[in-house]
Amino acid sequence: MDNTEDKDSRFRHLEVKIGVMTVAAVAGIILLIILIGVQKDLFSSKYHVHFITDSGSGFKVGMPVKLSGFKIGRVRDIELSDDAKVKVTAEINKKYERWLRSGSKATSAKDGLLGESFVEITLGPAKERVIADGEKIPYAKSGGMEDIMEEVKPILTEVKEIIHFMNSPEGDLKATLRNAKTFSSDLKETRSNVDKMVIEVGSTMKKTGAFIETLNAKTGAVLTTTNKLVGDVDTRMNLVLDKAGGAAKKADEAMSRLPVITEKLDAIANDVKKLSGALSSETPRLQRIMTKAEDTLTEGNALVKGIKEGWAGNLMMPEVKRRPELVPLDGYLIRKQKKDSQGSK
Amino acid sequence: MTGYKKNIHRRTAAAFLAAMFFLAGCASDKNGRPFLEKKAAGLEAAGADAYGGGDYGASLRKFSEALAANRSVDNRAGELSDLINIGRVLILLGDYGSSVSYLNEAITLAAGIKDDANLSEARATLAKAHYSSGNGAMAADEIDAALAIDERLGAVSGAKLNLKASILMDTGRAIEAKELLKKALKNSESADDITEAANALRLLAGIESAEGTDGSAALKFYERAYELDKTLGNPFKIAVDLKNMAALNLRAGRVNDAAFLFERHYTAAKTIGLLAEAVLSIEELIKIYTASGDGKKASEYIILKDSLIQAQGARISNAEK
Repeated sequence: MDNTEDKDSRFRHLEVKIGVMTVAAVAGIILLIILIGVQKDLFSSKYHVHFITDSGSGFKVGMPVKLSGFKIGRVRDIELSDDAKVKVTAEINKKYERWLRSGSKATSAKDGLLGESFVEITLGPAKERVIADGEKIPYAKSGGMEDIMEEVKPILTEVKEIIHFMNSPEGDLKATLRNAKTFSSDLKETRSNVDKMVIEVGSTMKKTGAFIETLNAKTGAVLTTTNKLVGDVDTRMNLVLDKAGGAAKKADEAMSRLPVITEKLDAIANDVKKLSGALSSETPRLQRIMTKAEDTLTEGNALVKGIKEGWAGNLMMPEVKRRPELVPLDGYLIRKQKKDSQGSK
Repeated sequence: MTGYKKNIHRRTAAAFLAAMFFLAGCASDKNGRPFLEKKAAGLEAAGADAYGGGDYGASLRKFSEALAANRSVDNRAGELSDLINIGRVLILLGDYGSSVSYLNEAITLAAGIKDDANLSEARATLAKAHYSSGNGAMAADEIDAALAIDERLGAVSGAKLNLKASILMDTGRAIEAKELLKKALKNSESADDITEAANALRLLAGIESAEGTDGSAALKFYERAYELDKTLGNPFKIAVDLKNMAALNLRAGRVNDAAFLFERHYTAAKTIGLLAEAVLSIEELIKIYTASGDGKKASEYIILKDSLIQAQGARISNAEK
């Protein structure tokens, strides 16, 4: 008879090795059970409350029991009572006992329309006594899916009618599209009119500038001639000028004001130029920025979505460890603000 | 003994496999958790994206789905931020009642998990919901509570100070509001919060404008707000700034400047579809050109006004159909 231990040294002390491994596996399993138990609150002390309802549909054993949105326990048992009513027993974590006071009510609820069903227990008034173990609490019936469907039925009929109307040639959608088309062609026309106006304003400004320059040159020449003339008169008619000295001074003052007025005219012309420049740059800017930003965002979103939804993306995505962010209190264009502020930094 | 030893490797392998299956079964819940948290994070990002783009309906759907995902894995922090975000979206959709109930839930949760920073955010949002629905007294209580938490945490928020200032302004406490707005402006500027800095400037301009002076201080505030709004590319706020700047210039007798600003407001308002606003600016332009004796321009604007009113009427009748 062959002796395996003699042939292969690995089979020596096989019983001990198997024993150690079995003990380790059993210890691991027990540890896991303890960990899961702690996580699922299996070892914390519990107490029970029950309520009576006409129908057991919608309830199941293990269903969560919540208070103010927090899970505080689960449905332990559902049984048919002697008078054909259903008794639902809830197992509540002992530490939440203080919130359940006489005045608390149980209702069945759902997370959203299609979400998980749960039993909601309302908070009892602070002045009332705490509910004792095994005590009964009242049950308040809430609207079920059937009730909602009954309410939704007329809305669905209306939606059907609306869709039918929208699809007809005289319906909202078609008519709106036609109007939008007309409106956008109007806008285009208005844009081209504004562009023309801006060009016209520009050329008018140029002409005005040239005219002012000519006016300046001519005024200068007139002033020089006038000065010469005054000089001649001054030498030839000293006596007359002595008498009319005050009048000549006034004439000089009036003449000196002329370049100041010309300067003011120049400044006004410059202001008009700046304003027309601002108008021409600002009118198409809004539209261009909005179109470009929209295109970039659509492309970016599609790319990111593609990567995220692909299997490789799912594998490579790191585990989520982050603090959830809040949207701003004032709801306006977060993306643009972020982009700009990054750009400005 | 020998037979036992012969099959021992098979039995060991079977025991290992059973243990592996058991462990995999136990671990499946733990693997599902990060997956759902990741899914919720994706939905939250999509919700914030839609909010930023002004699509509040889509934003509400995404945040609601994220809330359900976070609740299914007991992710309390995620649940709390979703509740606050839903509250904020509902305010913008005008559903103040629902907003208040979500925010009350958020306040209970934040107190339960001792997240003071988000407790302050939830209470400030609740203040905005009450303020928007015309309940100034409750809004004042909530914003005071939020600011008290912030003070304890050593945090300053321009948005909350602006909201408090708005509430004060409504009760005629302009001087206190002004001090708060200065603080809000300083804080928003240092935090690079352009939106709230512009909001503070606009509110300051409103106070200055109401004080009955020549309006030069108010005009300066509006001009600064306008520059910030231009960097944000927010056409709705740009239109508001242009209109107010035009009115202040007109009040100060700078008719040409006012006319130029009214023309720009008309263009901006028409581009974003605020036809009624555009008509108001045209009416001002007609008055200005009629008073200055420029009959040709005034009649051009009268024709433009008629065509705008027609377009507006067509839009309203289409909406009524």
